[in-house]
Amino acid sequence: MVDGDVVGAIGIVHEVDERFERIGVRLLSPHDLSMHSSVPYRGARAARYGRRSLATFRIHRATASNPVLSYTPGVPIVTLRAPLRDLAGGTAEVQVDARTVGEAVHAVEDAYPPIRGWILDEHGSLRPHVNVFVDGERCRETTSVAPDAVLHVLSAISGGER
Amino acid sequence: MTELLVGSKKGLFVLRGEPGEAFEIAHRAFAGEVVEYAIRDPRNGCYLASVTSGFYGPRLMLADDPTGEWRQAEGLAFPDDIPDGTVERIWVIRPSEEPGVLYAGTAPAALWRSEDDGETWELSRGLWNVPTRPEWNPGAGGLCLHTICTWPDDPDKLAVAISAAGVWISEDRGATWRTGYTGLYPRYMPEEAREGTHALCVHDMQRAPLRPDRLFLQFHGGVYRSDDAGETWLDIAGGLPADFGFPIVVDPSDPDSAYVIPLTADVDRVTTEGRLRVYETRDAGSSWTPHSDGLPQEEAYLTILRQAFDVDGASPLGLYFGTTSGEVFGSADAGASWFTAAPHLAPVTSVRVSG
Repeated sequence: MVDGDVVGAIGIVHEVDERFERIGVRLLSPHDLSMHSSVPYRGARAARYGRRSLATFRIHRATASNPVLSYTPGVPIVTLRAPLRDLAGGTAEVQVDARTVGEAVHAVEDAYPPIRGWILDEHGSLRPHVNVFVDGERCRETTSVAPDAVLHVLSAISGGER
Repeated sequence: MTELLVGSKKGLFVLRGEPGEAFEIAHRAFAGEVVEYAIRDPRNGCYLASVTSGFYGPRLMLADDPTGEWRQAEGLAFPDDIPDGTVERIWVIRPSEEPGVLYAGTAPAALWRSEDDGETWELSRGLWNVPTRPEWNPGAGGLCLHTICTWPDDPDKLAVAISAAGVWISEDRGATWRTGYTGLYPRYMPEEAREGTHALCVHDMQRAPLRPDRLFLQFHGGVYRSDDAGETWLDIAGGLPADFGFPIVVDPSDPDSAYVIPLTADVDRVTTEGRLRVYETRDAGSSWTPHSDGLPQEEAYLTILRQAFDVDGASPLGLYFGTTSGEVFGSADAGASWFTAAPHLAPVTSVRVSG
């Protein structure tokens, strides 16, 4: 993968660093998207899975004002749905430097202050009707997250109004 | 043209129209979320709304135009040194007599103060630190501070009503508090437990603007009047078909006036005898007159919540209330006749006249 590669039918590789750890994709149109790009594993992942394996990244959405999305392998990803995604300016996925679910959410709050108070209450506890899943498991704010974890923040079916 | 802010279980409805005719839904904001309460601050024209997501918790929103963009206020959250406090719901927002100052009441029962027109808030610690607070018990709506009274020309004086912890009075802007319990009769308590109890379930309390020390109060079984700014209370429910209900409103131009909508009882919270009637007193509670012209009078089992009734202050007086079955009714002649302002909204939590 090098500058100028076409990624599927929707984007062009915009930037690849020399260690191949950061890939920017300039999207051809700022729509909701679902796309996969592939890069070789490095570091611990390479040791575990082999250097020739591929990691997969999904890009859901870009905005007209920010058509370039960058992903750093080995950093947890937090996925957001509406209305949280709207509070994050339309961003559906955020990469955060975090070792626990609570740290990950705080990092999202730092990046997008309007989200503060929505996922965690004023004392840092997950709100009772918000679920965070890490790799398919429902977690608490104290749950550890691996460097390659994907966190999904979802409204719980126990919430809402009748 | 009259504008109503109708809070509901499914968003805020901004209704506009001419009294006597069906109103237009000019805008629906916060779709899918509970709007507990919304007002227009008459001092600066700013709109404030309490919004609670069933998932993501409560927040207070502000707007210069209720049909436009809303922004979120800051600070309505318990500080770190109160780890047992989490704001569950913002019940009421009340402009103060001081420029730029507003108060808000929440569940759990706490008073909040803003000095910048509602943009940022801070816990008023005096009430939170009342020694008896750990003994307070919640009503059906949670342990909530739902009513705040202020006094003209005396910004130091406040009275608040808490369900279910009675009336509290402050003379120093909320720094210290004393109870206003005398005369309130909690018949839902065993007789031997009534003396000294804090379990006084006030449903609503309104002050008469032209007689500042007169207050009217709808209790959890009982309608009361105070002529000494909430220190003592006199039962004035005689003549009503039931003394249970939620809202009470007053005609701002007549300190002897009050309106209530009786519900059958605490175990059957619907309009009495299947008829929707608004009762009016013009003699400070000595007698009550029912008004039903234009309101459903057959098989009408409706519920009106504590913040879902308001007056416009005009002459003749306009009155508006909403039901949990989604109707909004109005009167442009002080209650003599009624019209349907909106027939099919979501369950109504609050109605406030905003213009």
